[in-house]
Amino acid sequence: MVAFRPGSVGELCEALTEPGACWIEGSGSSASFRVGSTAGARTVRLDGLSEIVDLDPANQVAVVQAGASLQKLQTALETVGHCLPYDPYLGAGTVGGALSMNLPHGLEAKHGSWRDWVLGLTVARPDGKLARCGSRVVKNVAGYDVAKMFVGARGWLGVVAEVILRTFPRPHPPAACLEQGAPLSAGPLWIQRTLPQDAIAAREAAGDRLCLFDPGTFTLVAALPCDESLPRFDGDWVLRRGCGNQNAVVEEAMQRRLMLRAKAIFDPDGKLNPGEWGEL
Amino acid sequence: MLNMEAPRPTEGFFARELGALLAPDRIRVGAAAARAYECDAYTVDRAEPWAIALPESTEEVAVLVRWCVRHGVPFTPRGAGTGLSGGAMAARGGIIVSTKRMTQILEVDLPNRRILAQAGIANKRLSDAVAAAGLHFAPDPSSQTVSTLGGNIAENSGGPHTLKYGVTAQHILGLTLVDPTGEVVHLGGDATGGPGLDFVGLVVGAEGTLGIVTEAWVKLTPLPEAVHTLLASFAEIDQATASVAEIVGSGILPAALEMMDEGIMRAVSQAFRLSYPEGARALLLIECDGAPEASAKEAAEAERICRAHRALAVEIAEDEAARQRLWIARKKGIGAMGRLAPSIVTHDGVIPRSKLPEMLRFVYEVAEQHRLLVANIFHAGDGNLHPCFGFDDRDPEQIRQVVEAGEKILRKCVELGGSLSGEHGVGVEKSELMSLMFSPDDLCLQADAKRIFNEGDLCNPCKVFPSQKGCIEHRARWRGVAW
Repeated sequence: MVAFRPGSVGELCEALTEPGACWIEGSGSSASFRVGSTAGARTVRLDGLSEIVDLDPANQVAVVQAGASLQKLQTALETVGHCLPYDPYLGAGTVGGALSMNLPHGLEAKHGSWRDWVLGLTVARPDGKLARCGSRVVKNVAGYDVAKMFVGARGWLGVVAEVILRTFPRPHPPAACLEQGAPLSAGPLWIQRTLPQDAIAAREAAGDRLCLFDPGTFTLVAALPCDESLPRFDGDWVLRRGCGNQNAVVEEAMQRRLMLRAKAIFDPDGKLNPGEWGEL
Repeated sequence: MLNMEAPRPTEGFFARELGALLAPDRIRVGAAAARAYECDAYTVDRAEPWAIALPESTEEVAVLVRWCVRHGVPFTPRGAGTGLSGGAMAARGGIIVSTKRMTQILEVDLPNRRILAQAGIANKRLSDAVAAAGLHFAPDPSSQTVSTLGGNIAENSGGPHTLKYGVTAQHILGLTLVDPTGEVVHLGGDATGGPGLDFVGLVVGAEGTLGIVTEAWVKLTPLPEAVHTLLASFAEIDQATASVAEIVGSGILPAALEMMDEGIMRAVSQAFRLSYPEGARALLLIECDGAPEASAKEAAEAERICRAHRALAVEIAEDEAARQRLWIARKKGIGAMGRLAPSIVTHDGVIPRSKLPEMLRFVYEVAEQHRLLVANIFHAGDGNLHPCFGFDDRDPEQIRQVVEAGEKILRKCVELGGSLSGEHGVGVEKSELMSLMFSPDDLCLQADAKRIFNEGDLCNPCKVFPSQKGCIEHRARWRGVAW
């Protein structure tokens, strides 16, 4: 099926008023991490919503449409002496896609990640209505922090249309310090984050299958066939790719229950990215 | 199920019922107790609770909440009661669930840089517990010696060091919550950023309306190797704000960047016998920390910028004692205003930092219009302003002036592209102003988020959202005269 590429937020909203499931993607660069299936769903690609709406370096804020590529945003920020301290070793794509997947990155230990940079969002809801959350200032506690629900939500609760981001003056050192091993293309990727005390043991267990290790966030990336696993540790979490429904496994029963509840409230017809969180 | 329209059950009823759930000595009833708990540090609105319960554990909180649900009684969590937006006020009466007896540190996990503590523990105690290991809990609201972890979580508290270190949300790894049905819910707690939705991020800053947080895993941050503190004084506020703009624009990220105006200076010089250069009308407190060489360089650059903007003087702390002295105007400034007026209201709003000069001028105009004493403290680095008005809360007319002045300031904040609240939360103070910032569809989105945890109207009612069921008729009752 040919993807529908809205050219404006209005077109996106109109497309959402039609019944039927939607597979939402940015540029499709995170395809190998996705769980759900496009079967029976209209694909909606957002990389046509790519405007840099506003750059306000004096106030450390940028407003950008969700389909803008990260490259485009960083280039624009560079012209005003700013940046987003983001080093995506697992592939970059659009701003909306990156925050929706919330994969680990190389500068996380020192500079945080999407959860820390997203100040506000404009979200297109499954019925086509637009809603805003957050604000344009770097510090804000007015109302519920709903933006947090969309970071890492994989497009499951609503479609991120526009993002308000905190930006940082260069020279925020953009140098990541990651230990490198096998190439990332060596096979399906196993991504594991442990508590600090288990990081070394986890890294050693990966052996020569290790592709990357981030000593700041205790994250390792290894190339493993889908039928293999690395040792687990108390309190760790695992996200692995290229292995169908083994991606984004949510093991904790309470988390699953609350996620189902959130889905029933935000997207009662199950329209958006069906199956994206596997069997909850 | 209690009929909310019928005469309230007697004190004896609550003492008996709740005493049987916990123990008699952990329930407070009677006029004196109700009076003590009728408001938090936002004293303009007051509502007496019917009883106060002091549980000691998550299980006891769950038992209390389940009782409240069975009997249809509203309940409101309360930490130290230092909140500044009425968040701990029992808006529709009911039970105050106080965390005063839940102050234990449950686990110190230094290898993983985290602590598990009960929600009633004072913020500062967390840092004190791990100082010897060179760690601390970074969020440092001014109330930190008394305000509780649970309260900090409810309001997503900030403080002077949030510019560099982030707000409370950045430092909570996991929490235990008794939800509004009385069920115990565990969220997060393990390696950060785990798969699934960020419910911890939603609960932090939800002002105690999604349930009662009883325990939390908090992230510990290494204490900086070196700290450099400067206090610059200026003849004109505009010189101070221009210095702030240049410091932040230069790429320096100070650990703190706080501004105080002459109102604060007058209060602290009287209270603490501090002196400032002749003609000084604004102070800028700057703190740079981190690796010794890098932070010294940042501090030197900040000093250069202040002098370039014609600072009258720049004092540099030589040691920790001197550093504490430089911080006095900031930490004790608001308290010192108590010498100048019987009551103080500390307002809280945010504007884009570049609008600071315009906003300050507006605040002075409003103070003059409403004939109120005003002093200003700003987290200048992030545009979070705290205009403090002095008044006499025995005079209903002055209460009205203070509330109106606050509303004008918040309207201006939103007009300038800012926010209704940077730290204190919405509570009851600002709930009716939410429509300034959020459209009905925006509020619907927030209401949907709230429904994930709270579908009823018993858990901390009348907070955050405007025009909630059963609250409008109570609103007139809250506004009153203190003694």
